[in-house]
Amino acid sequence: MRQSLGGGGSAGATPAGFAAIVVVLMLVSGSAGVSAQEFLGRTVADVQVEVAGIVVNDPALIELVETRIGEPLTMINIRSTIDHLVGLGRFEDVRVFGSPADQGVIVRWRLTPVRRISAVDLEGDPQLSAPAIRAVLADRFGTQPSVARVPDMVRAVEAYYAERGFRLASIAPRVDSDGPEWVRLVLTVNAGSRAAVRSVTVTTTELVAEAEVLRRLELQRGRPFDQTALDSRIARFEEDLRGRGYFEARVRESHDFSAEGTAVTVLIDVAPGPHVRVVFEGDALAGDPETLVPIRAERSADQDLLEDASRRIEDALRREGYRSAQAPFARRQQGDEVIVTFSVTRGRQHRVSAVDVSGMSGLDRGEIAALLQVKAGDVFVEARVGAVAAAIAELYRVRGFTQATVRPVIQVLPEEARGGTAIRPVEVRFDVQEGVQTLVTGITFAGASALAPAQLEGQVTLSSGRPFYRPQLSADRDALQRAYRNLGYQNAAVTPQLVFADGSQGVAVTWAVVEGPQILVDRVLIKGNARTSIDLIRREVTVRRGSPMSDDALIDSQRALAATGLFRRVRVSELPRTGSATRDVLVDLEEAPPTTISYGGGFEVGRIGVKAADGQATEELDIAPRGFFDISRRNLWGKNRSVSLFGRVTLRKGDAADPTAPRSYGFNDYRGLFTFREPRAFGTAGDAQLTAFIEQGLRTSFDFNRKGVTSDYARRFSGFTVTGRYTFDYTKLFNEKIAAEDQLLIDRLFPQVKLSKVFGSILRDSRDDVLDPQQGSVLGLDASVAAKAMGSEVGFIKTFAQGFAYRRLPGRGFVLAAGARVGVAIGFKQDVPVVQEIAQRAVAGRDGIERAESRAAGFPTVIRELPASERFFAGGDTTVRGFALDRLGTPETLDPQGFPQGGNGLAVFNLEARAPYWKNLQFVWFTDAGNVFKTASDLRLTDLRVTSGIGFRYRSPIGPLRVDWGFKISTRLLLTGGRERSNVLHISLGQAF
Amino acid sequence: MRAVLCAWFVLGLALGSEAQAPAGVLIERTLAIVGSQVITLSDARVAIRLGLVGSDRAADPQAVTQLLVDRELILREVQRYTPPAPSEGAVDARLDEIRAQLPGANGLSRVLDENGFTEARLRAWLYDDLRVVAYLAQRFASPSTPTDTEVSLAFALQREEFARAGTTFEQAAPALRERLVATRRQELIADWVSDLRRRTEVVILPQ
Repeated sequence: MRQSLGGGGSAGATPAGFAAIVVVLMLVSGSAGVSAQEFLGRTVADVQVEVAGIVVNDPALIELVETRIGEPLTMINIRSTIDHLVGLGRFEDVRVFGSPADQGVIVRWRLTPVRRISAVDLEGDPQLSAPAIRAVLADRFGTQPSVARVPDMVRAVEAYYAERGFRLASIAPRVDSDGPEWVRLVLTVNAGSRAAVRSVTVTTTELVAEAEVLRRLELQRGRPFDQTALDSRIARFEEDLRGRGYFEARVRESHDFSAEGTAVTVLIDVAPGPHVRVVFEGDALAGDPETLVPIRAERSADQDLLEDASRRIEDALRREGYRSAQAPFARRQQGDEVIVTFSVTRGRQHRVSAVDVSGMSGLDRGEIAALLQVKAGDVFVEARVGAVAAAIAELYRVRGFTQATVRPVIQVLPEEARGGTAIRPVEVRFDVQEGVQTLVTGITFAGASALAPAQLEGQVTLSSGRPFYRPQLSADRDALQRAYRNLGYQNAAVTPQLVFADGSQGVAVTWAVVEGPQILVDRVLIKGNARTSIDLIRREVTVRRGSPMSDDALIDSQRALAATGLFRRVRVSELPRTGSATRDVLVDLEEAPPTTISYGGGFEVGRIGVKAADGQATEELDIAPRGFFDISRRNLWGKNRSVSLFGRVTLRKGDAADPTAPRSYGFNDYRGLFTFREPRAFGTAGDAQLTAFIEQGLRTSFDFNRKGVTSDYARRFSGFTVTGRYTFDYTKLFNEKIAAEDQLLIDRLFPQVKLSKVFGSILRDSRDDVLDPQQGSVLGLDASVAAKAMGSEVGFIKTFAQGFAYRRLPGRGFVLAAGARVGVAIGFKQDVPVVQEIAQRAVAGRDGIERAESRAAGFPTVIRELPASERFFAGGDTTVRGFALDRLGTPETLDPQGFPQGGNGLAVFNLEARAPYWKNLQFVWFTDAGNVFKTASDLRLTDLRVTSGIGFRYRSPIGPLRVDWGFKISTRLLLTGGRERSNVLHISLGQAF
Repeated sequence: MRAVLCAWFVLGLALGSEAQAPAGVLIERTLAIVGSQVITLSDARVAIRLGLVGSDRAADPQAVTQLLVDRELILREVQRYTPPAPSEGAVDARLDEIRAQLPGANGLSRVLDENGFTEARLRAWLYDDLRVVAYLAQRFASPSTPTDTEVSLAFALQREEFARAGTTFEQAAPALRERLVATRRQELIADWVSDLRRRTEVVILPQ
């Protein structure tokens, strides 16, 4: 019986006392004759879970209860269940009751949800600002504190009131229920009377008048006393005095409240200190005096700051070669002023006359050449010479010369005149003492059992035969510990033991491993998912019940959940459980709003091809304002599916029916998309997308309207994205600028065309930034096929290869970008009947009357071209920038008026040098080359048109704003007479490629 | 004596909770939550039975909970700064002490089983306790030395005690100084713990 009460007896226990307690317990428990301990070991006959007094059957909750029907009741299971339930963060009071049953014990779990404060209301006579009080509470206790913190919150508000002069404020808290898990905290405040200033005594000097002090600190008799406001006024006043040269100004305040707390006596002591002036004597400084002696910026002229300033002046001069520069300072009082004088003596400038390295045998001179950043003719900077010596020594250590030292030997030669100035030449020699090279003779592991030696060897870099380098030893130790931690051995200790041999020419490394206990994952608790399905979350979380508690797995899980875009905040963490080999993992989520709306606007500026009054192609500056709107609904059915509706409209000048009439603005360029997206579709790692679209666009030779649907499936495979797509669309050409008789037959036969095509692509993108890359590359290859067998009106095969590379050059940060794009397409041969209306053309007879002349005999009845919407075009701000949009092409691809018809072959090459950003501005130089060819077999590099130009980028919050000015290297005569325009200006967003 | 205190503690908790649960016997419950770490009734029972909360206040259920909360708060700090790990030998020695104070060969196992503890968990508890001691010794190693005036004042306040023992000021001064240092250290630790409590979400449930 004693065991059932206290968990065991002890030598000093009194049986009578225990008996009395047992009786009391029996009486109050209502389960006569049974104590808590006696339930242990009995079979669980039933389990009930109550939340706030209501029996629940939530499977997610029941699953966490480890006291299961049919199993014996154990305290370990009870304790684990409490850990799970409390760890979930939803419950704070968890109680377990047992009742005897015929077959064993009925276990009842009574859970009280955590009640959190959703809002704080103020009632009564608060006098102070409610938002300010809420801000103080949120800052101290968070936005949703537990109800248990109410007493602390009340104390914090009382302190806030006291600081503002309300020393008699009373705060009465009340908690109003706002749902089962939420409450509103109502603070009834009786602020009471605020302490008023009874008197102010100011001690100051004649430099700062008492009236000014009272005015600046807003201290007048009868005014309310506010300690916080007074402190900030004092701080501002001190700053102001320091700004006026009184760097040691101090304003001290003390106060005394009356017994009843309603009046306060304030004492202010102003000690402005002396006015400080800085004077420089002697030689000129090497730099800005305000930067070298920052007393104004630091608002101080104390000894430490002045000593630092003296050192800074000397260092600046030494960096210019004045090796013996001196800049001592002296303070002297002159009346009410302290004058700080820096006496600057530069001495002779020292210049390096020769550099040599001695004592090297273990390394080649070539290996240290890059480290020798000191050369003859340079100004001599001792610090730089020291840095070079340190760098050479470090290289030796990397190569296993653990005792290597490099001592710079400096010999200052007699003064000599150079360029009319006297200098001191300096010979610099780096004296190398190599010592012996130590190689690793063997690696062994002691005490390891969870990881095999081969696995451990895979983690370390220092292996047999390699030079011994101590920092690498530390890195290897970290790698080994990380490997153990990822297997759940959180306390694994790994220590290297070194045995040197052969006069330190070899070292045997033994890694002594103390693995400690392995921690496994018990439960993965998920909290905060109101809409998102548990299955989706579990799919992203890589830790599983029974798997090792791995740091990497926790981080990966957090990253994967954040990448879904469904959550505003994600935290995946291990919950503490002392002395247990298993621990729970808590996935704490805050869901993002399911609906997002975005909209914006901008404009596009560039030169586009238009039809002149005489019917010929010309170019015109096109300024097109545009706006977009997007509404998305995420996380449909809790599965991370999403739908979005996107619309973009561009206000653009369209062609008038009469080419002589001015072109007028209209909404004739638009695009609308409705997209359904399902990540990890069909139970795979790929994403599927279904899109319906409608768009209308203006091109140089025609306008088009297209509508259709596409379905995509994309999946990543170790850095590559593979995409498969099916598209069915209907494209209609209109406003063709090319005369009917000059149009390609396919355009005449199919001004409206249905295409059914499949598309596949493989893409590798390793750019560091999609909008403004500086490193990395993009490689892509795609192909599409359309065929009549698939429901297409015309058939073709089309491939397109592209590659872009970006490299940040060493030094100042120039970026070199290069790109290549090649496309070839072949139309499937298709017989078409002669259409007389097309095959006839009007010819003028001798009588001057036009008659239709049939040319059916010579009219082609086979087409090999692609529809206009599928042909290649080039020229413009992203391809060849010396040409306006689509204006590039071989003569075979241009109509007699100069309008581009597009072609089946394309080649575009770009090279761009991007200077580093200076105040958000970047200058670039570029050369583009390319052309459009009628057929794939026409593709010739010798036919490429080359353009070059300059531009600049402005780094804006939405990406680089781009202005490029491209020039043709050589202009050509147009078919219609005259010459091509020599240059084109483009304004756009984002880099060209 | 400890068993009696434990029994009264359990009774106190039971009386508090049974008013709400007339149809069952309380087996286990949460007493407090520090951050995300839960302190349960069985933790308190084990702490008392095995003397893990060495304090005169261990008889008071509320006080035991407060002591366990303080321990948890300190442990959170200890885990942030990782003081030197205690040796396995030190943990063994402490375990042997506990084993020795319980009757019977299986005294310890019985207490652990009844409260859902394992020996591994107890060892971890003791390990943490030793880390706490090391941490406090490191962090609060040298509180300011009392001045001669403070020592004189302390002697004056305890004059009767020293007079009874016939101790002069010179004889008593070293001991007084040590006592003042210890008191000052305790005060510093207490201030520090209350600051930790202010910074952490601590829920102490009504008993």
